[in-house]
Amino acid sequence: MRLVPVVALALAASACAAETDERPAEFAYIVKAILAPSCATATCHSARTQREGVDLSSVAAAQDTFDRIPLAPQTGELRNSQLLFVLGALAGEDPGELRMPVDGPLPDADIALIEQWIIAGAPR
Amino acid sequence: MKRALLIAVALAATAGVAHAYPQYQLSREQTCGACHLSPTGGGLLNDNGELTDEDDAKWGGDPTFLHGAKELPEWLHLGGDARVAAGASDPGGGWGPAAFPMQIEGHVQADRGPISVVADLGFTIPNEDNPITLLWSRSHYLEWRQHDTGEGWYARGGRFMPTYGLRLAEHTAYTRRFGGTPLFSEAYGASVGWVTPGAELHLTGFVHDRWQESIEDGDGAAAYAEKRFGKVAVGVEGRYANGAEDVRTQGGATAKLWLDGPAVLLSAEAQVVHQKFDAGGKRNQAVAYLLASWFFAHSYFLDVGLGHYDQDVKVPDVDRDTVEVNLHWFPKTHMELVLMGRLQMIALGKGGDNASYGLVQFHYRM
Repeated sequence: MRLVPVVALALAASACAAETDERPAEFAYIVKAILAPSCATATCHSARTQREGVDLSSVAAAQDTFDRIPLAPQTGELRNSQLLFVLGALAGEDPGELRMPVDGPLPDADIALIEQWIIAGAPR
Repeated sequence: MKRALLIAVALAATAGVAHAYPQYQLSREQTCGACHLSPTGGGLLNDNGELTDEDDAKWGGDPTFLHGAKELPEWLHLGGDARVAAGASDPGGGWGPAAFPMQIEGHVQADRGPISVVADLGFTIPNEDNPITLLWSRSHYLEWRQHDTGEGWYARGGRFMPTYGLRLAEHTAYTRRFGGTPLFSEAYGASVGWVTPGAELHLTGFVHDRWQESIEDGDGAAAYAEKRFGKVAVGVEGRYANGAEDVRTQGGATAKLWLDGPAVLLSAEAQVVHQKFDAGGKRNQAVAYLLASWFFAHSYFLDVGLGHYDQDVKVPDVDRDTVEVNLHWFPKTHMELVLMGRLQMIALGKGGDNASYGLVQFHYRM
Protein backbone atom coordinates (compact mmCIF):
# COMPACT_ATOMS: atom_id res chain seq x y z
CA MET A 1 0.00 0.00 0.00
CA ARG A 2 3.06 2.29 -0.06
CA LEU A 3 2.08 2.94 -3.67
CA VAL A 4 -0.94 5.03 -2.69
CA PRO A 5 0.98 7.87 -1.02
CA VAL A 6 3.52 7.81 -3.87
CA VAL A 7 0.74 8.28 -6.41
CA ALA A 8 -0.85 11.00 -4.26
CA LEU A 9 2.48 12.81 -4.01
CA ALA A 10 3.01 12.62 -7.77
CA LEU A 11 -0.44 14.05 -8.45
CA ALA A 12 0.23 16.79 -5.92
CA ALA A 13 3.53 17.49 -7.66
CA SER A 14 1.64 17.63 -10.93
CA ALA A 15 -0.66 20.27 -9.50
CA CYS A 16 2.34 22.37 -8.38
CA ALA A 17 4.52 22.03 -11.47
CA ALA A 18 7.93 23.67 -11.76
CA GLU A 19 8.37 27.16 -13.12
CA THR A 20 10.70 26.46 -16.02
CA ASP A 21 10.78 24.17 -19.03
CA GLU A 22 14.20 22.55 -19.15
CA ARG A 23 13.35 19.84 -21.66
CA PRO A 24 15.85 19.31 -24.49
CA ALA A 25 14.80 20.76 -27.85
CA GLU A 26 16.12 17.64 -29.55
CA PHE A 27 14.58 15.48 -32.26
CA ALA A 28 14.68 12.21 -30.32
CA TYR A 29 13.09 13.75 -27.26
CA ILE A 30 10.41 15.60 -29.26
CA VAL A 31 9.45 12.43 -31.12
CA LYS A 32 9.29 10.11 -28.11
CA ALA A 33 7.89 12.51 -25.54
CA ILE A 34 5.54 14.62 -27.65
CA LEU A 35 4.82 13.38 -31.17
CA ALA A 36 4.58 9.62 -30.59
CA PRO A 37 2.08 9.73 -27.70
CA SER A 38 -0.09 12.38 -29.37
CA CYS A 39 0.16 11.53 -33.07
CA ALA A 40 1.16 7.85 -33.41
CA THR A 41 -2.25 6.63 -32.27
CA ALA A 42 -3.66 3.42 -33.67
CA THR A 43 -5.45 4.74 -36.75
CA CYS A 44 -3.30 7.79 -37.47
CA HIS A 45 0.48 8.03 -37.63
CA SER A 46 1.29 4.66 -36.05
CA ALA A 47 3.74 2.22 -37.56
CA ARG A 48 0.80 0.21 -38.87
CA THR A 49 -1.41 2.89 -40.42
CA GLN A 50 1.08 5.62 -41.41
CA ARG A 51 -1.58 8.03 -42.65
CA GLU A 52 -0.30 10.20 -45.50
CA GLY A 53 2.96 8.26 -45.26
CA VAL A 54 3.72 9.75 -41.86
CA ASP A 55 5.03 7.39 -39.17
CA LEU A 56 5.80 9.05 -35.85
CA SER A 57 5.84 5.91 -33.73
CA SER A 58 9.59 5.90 -33.14
CA VAL A 59 12.65 8.07 -33.60
CA ALA A 60 13.87 5.88 -36.45
CA ALA A 61 10.53 5.98 -38.26
CA ALA A 62 10.16 9.72 -37.71
CA GLN A 63 13.66 10.25 -39.07
CA ASP A 64 12.60 8.58 -42.31
CA THR A 65 9.33 10.54 -42.39
CA PHE A 66 11.03 13.90 -41.84
CA ASP A 67 13.57 13.03 -44.56
CA ARG A 68 10.78 12.41 -47.09
CA ILE A 69 8.24 15.07 -46.14
CA PRO A 70 9.00 18.76 -45.40
CA LEU A 71 7.45 18.68 -41.97
CA ALA A 72 10.36 20.67 -40.62
CA PRO A 73 12.79 21.88 -43.30
CA GLN A 74 16.29 22.41 -41.97
CA THR A 75 16.38 26.09 -42.92
CA GLY A 76 15.66 27.43 -39.48
CA GLU A 77 12.49 29.12 -40.77
CA LEU A 78 9.28 28.38 -38.96
CA ARG A 79 6.97 29.41 -41.81
CA ASN A 80 8.03 26.52 -44.05
CA SER A 81 7.14 23.85 -41.55
CA GLN A 82 4.19 21.65 -42.45
CA LEU A 83 4.34 20.31 -38.92
CA LEU A 84 3.68 23.70 -37.36
CA PHE A 85 0.97 24.36 -39.95
CA VAL A 86 -1.07 21.29 -39.03
CA LEU A 87 -0.50 21.99 -35.35
CA GLY A 88 -2.18 25.38 -35.90
CA ALA A 89 0.99 27.15 -34.83
CA LEU A 90 1.71 29.33 -37.87
CA ALA A 91 0.55 32.87 -37.30
CA GLY A 92 -2.14 33.94 -39.73
CA GLU A 93 -2.61 30.47 -41.23
CA ASP A 94 -5.63 28.37 -40.36
CA PRO A 95 -5.23 24.65 -41.07
CA GLY A 96 -8.99 24.19 -40.87
CA GLU A 97 -9.93 20.54 -40.97
CA LEU A 98 -6.24 19.60 -41.24
CA ARG A 99 -5.72 20.72 -37.64
CA MET A 100 -3.97 18.04 -35.58
CA PRO A 101 -3.99 16.14 -33.37
CA VAL A 102 -7.63 15.52 -34.18
CA ASP A 103 -8.56 14.78 -30.58
CA GLY A 104 -7.00 17.88 -29.09
CA PRO A 105 -4.15 20.32 -29.61
CA LEU A 106 -0.68 20.07 -28.18
CA PRO A 107 0.15 22.30 -25.25
CA ASP A 108 1.68 25.66 -26.21
CA ALA A 109 4.80 24.63 -24.29
CA ASP A 110 5.25 21.59 -26.56
CA ILE A 111 4.81 23.71 -29.67
CA ALA A 112 7.35 26.20 -28.31
CA LEU A 113 9.83 23.35 -27.85
CA ILE A 114 9.26 22.20 -31.43
CA GLU A 115 9.73 25.78 -32.69
CA GLN A 116 12.97 26.03 -30.74
CA TRP A 117 14.19 22.87 -32.44
CA ILE A 118 13.18 24.10 -35.92
CA ILE A 119 14.86 27.50 -35.38
CA ALA A 120 18.01 25.58 -34.50
CA GLY A 121 17.88 24.00 -37.96
CA ALA A 122 15.77 20.95 -37.07
CA PRO A 123 18.83 18.72 -36.52
CA ARG A 124 18.05 15.04 -36.65
CA MET B 1 -35.00 -25.67 -17.94
CA LYS B 2 -31.45 -24.41 -18.06
CA ARG B 3 -32.60 -21.21 -19.68
CA ALA B 4 -35.33 -20.75 -17.06
CA LEU B 5 -32.76 -21.18 -14.33
CA LEU B 6 -30.43 -18.69 -15.96
CA ILE B 7 -33.26 -16.19 -16.27
CA ALA B 8 -34.04 -16.62 -12.59
CA VAL B 9 -30.39 -16.16 -11.66
CA ALA B 10 -30.07 -13.18 -13.96
CA LEU B 11 -33.18 -11.49 -12.60
CA ALA B 12 -32.08 -12.08 -9.05
CA ALA B 13 -28.71 -10.63 -9.83
CA THR B 14 -29.94 -7.68 -11.83
CA ALA B 15 -33.14 -6.60 -10.13
CA GLY B 16 -33.45 -2.87 -9.98
CA VAL B 17 -30.19 -1.98 -11.66
CA ALA B 18 -28.73 -3.04 -14.95
CA HIS B 19 -25.38 -4.79 -15.12
CA ALA B 20 -22.93 -4.82 -17.98
CA TYR B 21 -19.71 -2.78 -18.37
CA PRO B 22 -17.11 -2.57 -15.61
CA GLN B 23 -19.11 0.37 -14.29
CA TYR B 24 -21.68 -2.10 -12.90
CA GLN B 25 -19.27 -4.44 -11.23
CA LEU B 26 -19.82 -3.62 -7.57
CA SER B 27 -23.57 -3.22 -7.61
CA ARG B 28 -23.77 -6.92 -6.79
CA GLU B 29 -21.17 -9.44 -5.79
CA GLN B 30 -20.10 -10.24 -9.31
CA THR B 31 -16.99 -10.84 -11.29
CA CYS B 32 -16.51 -9.87 -14.94
CA GLY B 33 -17.02 -13.57 -15.71
CA ALA B 34 -20.60 -13.35 -14.45
CA CYS B 35 -21.56 -11.79 -17.78
CA HIS B 36 -18.59 -12.37 -20.08
CA LEU B 37 -16.99 -15.58 -21.30
CA SER B 38 -13.61 -14.09 -20.49
CA PRO B 39 -12.71 -14.07 -16.80
CA THR B 40 -11.10 -10.67 -17.34
CA GLY B 41 -14.20 -9.17 -18.97
CA GLY B 42 -14.92 -7.73 -22.38
CA GLY B 43 -15.79 -9.46 -25.63
CA LEU B 44 -18.36 -12.22 -25.94
CA LEU B 45 -21.19 -12.48 -23.43
CA ASN B 46 -22.14 -15.70 -21.70
CA ASP B 47 -25.75 -16.83 -21.19
CA ASN B 48 -26.12 -14.67 -18.11
CA GLY B 49 -24.66 -11.68 -19.93
CA GLU B 50 -27.14 -12.11 -22.76
CA LEU B 51 -30.02 -12.33 -20.31
CA THR B 52 -28.73 -9.21 -18.63
CA ASP B 53 -28.79 -7.52 -22.02
CA GLU B 54 -32.41 -8.58 -22.37
CA ASP B 55 -33.24 -7.32 -18.91
CA ASP B 56 -31.53 -3.98 -19.58
CA ALA B 57 -33.25 -3.32 -22.90
CA LYS B 58 -36.15 -0.90 -22.91
CA TRP B 59 -38.16 -2.90 -25.42
CA GLY B 60 -36.64 -6.35 -24.94
CA GLY B 61 -35.79 -8.74 -27.77
CA ASP B 62 -33.90 -11.99 -28.19
CA PRO B 63 -30.41 -11.40 -26.78
CA THR B 64 -28.78 -14.49 -28.30
CA PHE B 65 -26.53 -14.70 -31.37
CA LEU B 66 -28.23 -13.19 -34.44
CA HIS B 67 -31.37 -12.63 -32.36
CA GLY B 68 -31.89 -16.37 -32.09
CA ALA B 69 -31.95 -16.96 -35.85
CA LYS B 70 -29.13 -19.47 -35.61
CA GLU B 71 -28.60 -21.78 -32.66
CA LEU B 72 -24.97 -22.64 -32.02
CA PRO B 73 -23.59 -25.79 -30.45
CA GLU B 74 -22.69 -25.35 -26.80
CA TRP B 75 -18.96 -25.45 -27.49
CA LEU B 76 -19.05 -22.63 -30.04
CA HIS B 77 -19.60 -18.95 -29.33
CA LEU B 78 -19.79 -16.35 -32.07
CA GLY B 79 -20.44 -12.65 -31.95
CA GLY B 80 -19.46 -9.30 -33.24
CA ASP B 81 -19.53 -5.61 -32.53
CA ALA B 82 -20.13 -2.66 -34.81
CA ARG B 83 -19.86 0.91 -33.59
CA VAL B 84 -20.21 4.13 -35.54
CA ALA B 85 -20.22 7.69 -34.31
CA ALA B 86 -21.30 10.99 -35.80
CA GLY B 87 -21.62 14.54 -34.57
CA ALA B 88 -19.27 17.47 -34.34
CA SER B 89 -15.81 18.07 -32.97
CA ASP B 90 -13.49 20.96 -32.28
CA PRO B 91 -9.84 19.88 -32.31
CA GLY B 92 -8.81 23.34 -31.20
CA GLY B 93 -9.45 25.55 -34.20
CA GLY B 94 -13.23 25.49 -34.48
CA TRP B 95 -16.17 23.12 -34.76
CA GLY B 96 -16.76 20.88 -37.74
CA PRO B 97 -18.73 17.77 -38.59
CA ALA B 98 -17.35 14.38 -37.56
CA ALA B 99 -18.44 10.88 -38.56
CA PHE B 100 -16.42 7.69 -38.41
CA PRO B 101 -16.60 3.94 -37.83
CA MET B 102 -15.27 2.98 -34.41
CA GLN B 103 -15.30 -0.80 -34.53
CA ILE B 104 -16.27 -3.57 -36.93
CA GLU B 105 -15.13 -6.81 -35.40
CA GLY B 106 -16.15 -10.45 -35.14
CA HIS B 107 -15.39 -12.74 -32.21
CA VAL B 108 -15.17 -16.51 -31.88
CA GLN B 109 -14.58 -18.82 -28.95
CA ALA B 110 -14.43 -22.59 -29.23
CA ASP B 111 -14.44 -24.66 -26.04
CA ARG B 112 -13.20 -28.14 -25.34
CA GLY B 113 -13.61 -28.82 -21.66
CA PRO B 114 -11.79 -26.13 -19.68
CA ILE B 115 -9.70 -25.10 -22.72
CA SER B 116 -10.83 -22.42 -25.16
CA VAL B 117 -9.49 -20.93 -28.34
CA VAL B 118 -10.44 -17.27 -28.51
CA ALA B 119 -9.95 -14.94 -31.46
CA ASP B 120 -11.28 -11.83 -33.09
CA LEU B 121 -10.97 -10.40 -36.56
CA GLY B 122 -11.93 -6.91 -37.56
CA PHE B 123 -11.44 -4.05 -39.92
CA THR B 124 -9.41 -0.95 -39.32
CA ILE B 125 -8.12 1.97 -41.35
CA PRO B 126 -5.48 0.39 -43.61
CA ASN B 127 -2.02 1.55 -44.48
CA GLU B 128 -2.36 2.98 -48.00
CA ASP B 129 0.68 1.02 -49.20
CA ASN B 130 -0.36 -2.24 -47.58
CA PRO B 131 -4.09 -2.92 -48.10
CA ILE B 132 -3.98 -6.21 -46.15
CA THR B 133 -3.70 -4.09 -43.00
CA LEU B 134 -7.42 -3.45 -43.46
CA LEU B 135 -7.82 -6.75 -41.61
CA TRP B 136 -6.80 -6.88 -38.01
CA SER B 137 -6.84 -9.40 -35.21
CA ARG B 138 -6.40 -7.70 -31.88
CA SER B 139 -6.70 -10.87 -29.85
CA HIS B 140 -6.09 -14.56 -30.44
CA TYR B 141 -5.17 -16.81 -27.58
CA LEU B 142 -5.56 -20.14 -25.86
CA GLU B 143 -7.16 -20.06 -22.43
CA TRP B 144 -7.66 -22.49 -19.56
CA ARG B 145 -10.25 -21.81 -16.89
CA GLN B 146 -10.67 -23.66 -13.62
CA HIS B 147 -14.46 -23.20 -13.64
CA ASP B 148 -17.10 -22.40 -16.27
CA THR B 149 -18.20 -19.43 -14.20
CA GLY B 150 -14.93 -17.65 -14.81
CA GLU B 151 -14.16 -17.75 -11.09
CA GLY B 152 -11.01 -19.37 -9.76
CA TRP B 153 -7.77 -19.70 -11.68
CA TYR B 154 -7.23 -19.03 -15.35
CA ALA B 155 -4.22 -19.02 -17.65
CA ARG B 156 -3.86 -17.81 -21.21
CA GLY B 157 -1.24 -17.48 -23.87
CA GLY B 158 -1.33 -15.60 -27.14
CA ARG B 159 -2.14 -12.07 -28.22
CA PHE B 160 -4.30 -10.00 -25.89
CA MET B 161 -4.37 -6.83 -23.82
CA PRO B 162 -2.54 -7.41 -20.54
CA THR B 163 -5.10 -6.99 -17.76
CA TYR B 164 -4.44 -3.71 -16.04
CA GLY B 165 -6.36 -0.99 -14.23
CA LEU B 166 -10.04 -0.18 -14.44
CA ARG B 167 -10.43 -1.72 -17.92
CA LEU B 168 -12.83 0.98 -19.09
CA ALA B 169 -14.39 0.56 -22.51
CA GLU B 170 -13.73 4.22 -23.31
CA HIS B 171 -10.20 4.34 -24.69
CA THR B 172 -10.20 8.14 -24.55
CA ALA B 173 -9.83 7.95 -20.76
CA TYR B 174 -6.35 9.22 -19.95
CA THR B 175 -5.70 6.24 -17.69
CA ARG B 176 -6.07 4.06 -20.77
CA ARG B 177 -4.52 6.27 -23.44
CA PHE B 178 -1.52 7.40 -21.43
CA GLY B 179 -1.67 4.81 -18.68
CA GLY B 180 -0.53 1.64 -20.40
CA THR B 181 -3.57 0.34 -22.28
CA PRO B 182 -4.15 2.63 -25.28
CA LEU B 183 -6.29 1.41 -28.14
CA PHE B 184 -4.65 -1.39 -30.17
CA SER B 185 -1.79 -1.94 -27.72
CA GLU B 186 -2.30 -5.70 -27.42
CA ALA B 187 0.85 -7.80 -27.14
CA TYR B 188 1.82 -11.46 -27.20
CA GLY B 189 2.16 -12.90 -23.76
CA ALA B 190 1.26 -15.35 -21.08
CA SER B 191 -1.04 -14.54 -18.24
CA VAL B 192 -2.22 -16.22 -15.09
CA GLY B 193 -4.94 -14.97 -12.81
CA TRP B 194 -7.30 -15.71 -9.98
CA VAL B 195 -10.77 -14.22 -9.83
CA THR B 196 -13.44 -14.41 -7.14
CA PRO B 197 -16.22 -11.99 -6.15
CA GLY B 198 -14.00 -10.86 -3.27
CA ALA B 199 -10.64 -10.44 -4.95
CA GLU B 200 -8.78 -10.80 -8.21
CA LEU B 201 -5.19 -11.00 -9.31
CA HIS B 202 -3.78 -10.85 -12.83
CA LEU B 203 -0.15 -11.32 -13.83
CA THR B 204 1.05 -11.01 -17.42
CA GLY B 205 4.39 -11.22 -19.13
CA PHE B 206 4.42 -9.87 -22.69
CA VAL B 207 6.53 -9.21 -25.74
CA HIS B 208 5.59 -6.78 -28.47
CA ASP B 209 4.08 -8.03 -31.70
CA ARG B 210 6.75 -8.62 -34.35
CA TRP B 211 4.18 -9.34 -37.10
CA GLN B 212 1.28 -6.96 -36.67
CA GLU B 213 2.39 -3.49 -35.60
CA SER B 214 1.05 -2.59 -32.17
CA ILE B 215 1.03 0.62 -30.20
CA GLU B 216 2.93 -1.30 -27.51
CA ASP B 217 6.53 -1.60 -28.72
CA GLY B 218 7.98 -2.89 -25.48
CA ASP B 219 8.54 -6.19 -23.74
CA GLY B 220 7.65 -6.43 -20.09
CA ALA B 221 5.10 -7.36 -17.48
CA ALA B 222 1.87 -6.10 -15.96
CA ALA B 223 0.20 -6.88 -12.67
CA TYR B 224 -3.14 -5.93 -11.22
CA ALA B 225 -4.68 -6.95 -7.89
CA GLU B 226 -8.00 -5.90 -6.44
CA LYS B 227 -9.65 -6.65 -3.12
CA ARG B 228 -13.30 -5.97 -2.37
CA PHE B 229 -14.76 -5.10 1.02
CA GLY B 230 -18.52 -5.15 0.53
CA LYS B 231 -19.34 -2.16 -1.65
CA VAL B 232 -15.78 -0.88 -1.66
CA ALA B 233 -12.88 -2.15 -3.72
CA VAL B 234 -9.25 -1.12 -3.78
CA GLY B 235 -6.60 -2.20 -6.23
CA VAL B 236 -2.91 -1.81 -6.95
CA GLU B 237 -1.20 -2.02 -10.30
CA GLY B 238 2.27 -2.08 -11.75
CA ARG B 239 3.64 -2.28 -15.25
CA TYR B 240 7.06 -2.37 -16.90
CA ALA B 241 7.87 -2.15 -20.60
CA ASN B 242 11.30 -2.07 -22.17
CA GLY B 243 10.79 -0.58 -25.62
CA ALA B 244 13.08 -0.02 -28.57
CA GLU B 245 13.76 3.57 -27.54
CA ASP B 246 12.54 3.95 -23.98
CA VAL B 247 11.76 2.17 -20.73
CA ARG B 248 8.46 2.75 -18.94
CA THR B 249 7.93 1.82 -15.30
CA GLN B 250 4.60 2.65 -13.78
CA GLY B 251 2.47 1.99 -10.76
CA GLY B 252 -0.79 3.13 -9.35
CA ALA B 253 -3.93 2.40 -7.43
CA THR B 254 -7.63 2.02 -8.12
CA ALA B 255 -10.67 2.43 -5.92
CA LYS B 256 -14.37 1.79 -6.38
CA LEU B 257 -17.33 2.65 -4.21
CA TRP B 258 -20.91 1.56 -4.84
CA LEU B 259 -23.61 3.78 -3.35
CA ASP B 260 -26.86 1.82 -3.06
CA GLY B 261 -29.21 4.75 -2.48
CA PRO B 262 -28.51 6.85 -5.55
CA ALA B 263 -27.31 3.77 -7.51
CA VAL B 264 -23.98 5.39 -8.26
CA LEU B 265 -20.62 3.73 -8.77
CA LEU B 266 -17.57 5.89 -8.15
CA SER B 267 -14.36 4.59 -9.74
CA ALA B 268 -10.94 6.14 -9.53
CA GLU B 269 -7.50 5.33 -10.85
CA ALA B 270 -4.23 7.18 -10.41
CA GLN B 271 -0.82 6.31 -11.76
CA VAL B 272 2.72 7.55 -12.05
CA VAL B 273 4.55 6.64 -15.25
CA HIS B 274 8.31 6.97 -15.20
CA GLN B 275 9.77 7.06 -18.71
CA LYS B 276 13.46 6.91 -19.45
CA PHE B 277 14.56 7.67 -23.00
CA ASP B 278 17.43 5.75 -24.57
CA ALA B 279 18.57 8.95 -26.30
CA GLY B 280 18.81 10.66 -22.92
CA GLY B 281 16.40 12.29 -20.54
CA LYS B 282 13.55 11.03 -18.43
CA ARG B 283 10.25 12.22 -17.10
CA ASN B 284 7.54 11.38 -14.62
CA GLN B 285 3.97 11.49 -15.87
CA ALA B 286 0.87 11.60 -13.69
CA VAL B 287 -2.41 10.12 -14.89
CA ALA B 288 -5.70 10.05 -13.05
CA TYR B 289 -9.36 9.43 -13.76
CA LEU B 290 -12.46 9.75 -11.62
CA LEU B 291 -15.68 8.32 -12.95
CA ALA B 292 -19.19 8.54 -11.53
CA SER B 293 -21.71 6.18 -13.12
CA TRP B 294 -25.35 6.85 -12.21
CA PHE B 295 -27.97 4.24 -13.01
CA PHE B 296 -30.88 6.61 -12.83
CA ALA B 297 -33.52 4.64 -14.74
CA HIS B 298 -34.08 1.26 -16.30
CA SER B 299 -32.16 0.94 -19.62
CA TYR B 300 -30.11 4.11 -18.96
CA PHE B 301 -26.95 5.10 -17.21
CA LEU B 302 -24.96 8.28 -17.11
CA ASP B 303 -21.18 8.51 -16.87
CA VAL B 304 -19.40 11.65 -15.78
CA GLY B 305 -15.62 11.36 -15.91
CA LEU B 306 -12.87 13.74 -14.87
CA GLY B 307 -9.42 13.04 -16.28
CA HIS B 308 -6.02 14.49 -15.53
CA TYR B 309 -2.79 13.86 -17.44
CA ASP B 310 0.48 15.63 -16.79
CA GLN B 311 3.07 14.59 -19.36
CA ASP B 312 5.94 15.86 -17.18
CA VAL B 313 5.37 16.89 -13.59
CA LYS B 314 8.46 19.12 -13.69
CA VAL B 315 7.31 21.18 -16.66
CA PRO B 316 4.71 23.94 -16.29
CA ASP B 317 1.53 24.05 -18.34
CA VAL B 318 1.75 20.68 -20.10
CA ASP B 319 -1.01 19.12 -18.03
CA ARG B 320 -4.43 18.36 -19.46
CA ASP B 321 -7.82 17.92 -17.88
CA THR B 322 -10.99 16.53 -19.35
CA VAL B 323 -14.64 16.40 -18.50
CA GLU B 324 -16.42 13.55 -20.24
CA VAL B 325 -20.17 12.95 -20.13
CA ASN B 326 -21.67 9.83 -21.70
CA LEU B 327 -25.36 8.99 -21.59
CA HIS B 328 -25.97 5.30 -22.40
CA TRP B 329 -29.34 3.98 -23.52
CA PHE B 330 -30.25 0.38 -24.36
CA PRO B 331 -33.40 0.57 -26.52
CA LYS B 332 -33.49 -3.11 -27.57
CA THR B 333 -31.30 -6.13 -27.03
CA HIS B 334 -28.05 -5.97 -29.02
CA MET B 335 -28.32 -2.19 -29.31
CA GLU B 336 -26.87 0.75 -27.47
CA LEU B 337 -26.96 4.47 -28.14
CA VAL B 338 -24.48 6.73 -26.40
CA LEU B 339 -24.60 10.51 -26.34
CA MET B 340 -20.99 11.53 -25.83
CA GLY B 341 -19.56 14.89 -24.87
CA ARG B 342 -16.01 15.82 -24.00
CA LEU B 343 -14.09 18.98 -23.16
CA GLN B 344 -10.31 19.01 -22.84
CA MET B 345 -8.34 21.89 -21.37
CA ILE B 346 -4.60 22.40 -21.24
CA ALA B 347 -3.33 23.86 -17.98
CA LEU B 348 -6.95 24.72 -17.21
CA GLY B 349 -7.20 26.86 -20.32
CA LYS B 350 -3.95 28.82 -20.06
CA GLY B 351 -1.65 26.34 -21.82
CA GLY B 352 -3.29 26.01 -25.23
CA ASP B 353 -6.56 25.74 -27.10
CA ASN B 354 -9.41 23.73 -25.68
CA ALA B 355 -10.80 20.76 -27.62
CA SER B 356 -14.31 19.32 -27.55
CA TYR B 357 -16.64 16.92 -29.21
CA GLY B 358 -20.29 16.02 -29.14
CA LEU B 359 -21.13 12.68 -30.75
CA VAL B 360 -23.83 10.09 -30.97
CA GLN B 361 -22.50 6.54 -30.97
CA PHE B 362 -24.53 3.58 -32.17
CA HIS B 363 -23.34 0.18 -31.01
CA TYR B 364 -24.73 -3.06 -32.37
CA ARG B 365 -23.76 -6.39 -30.82
CA MET B 366 -24.25 -9.34 -33.09
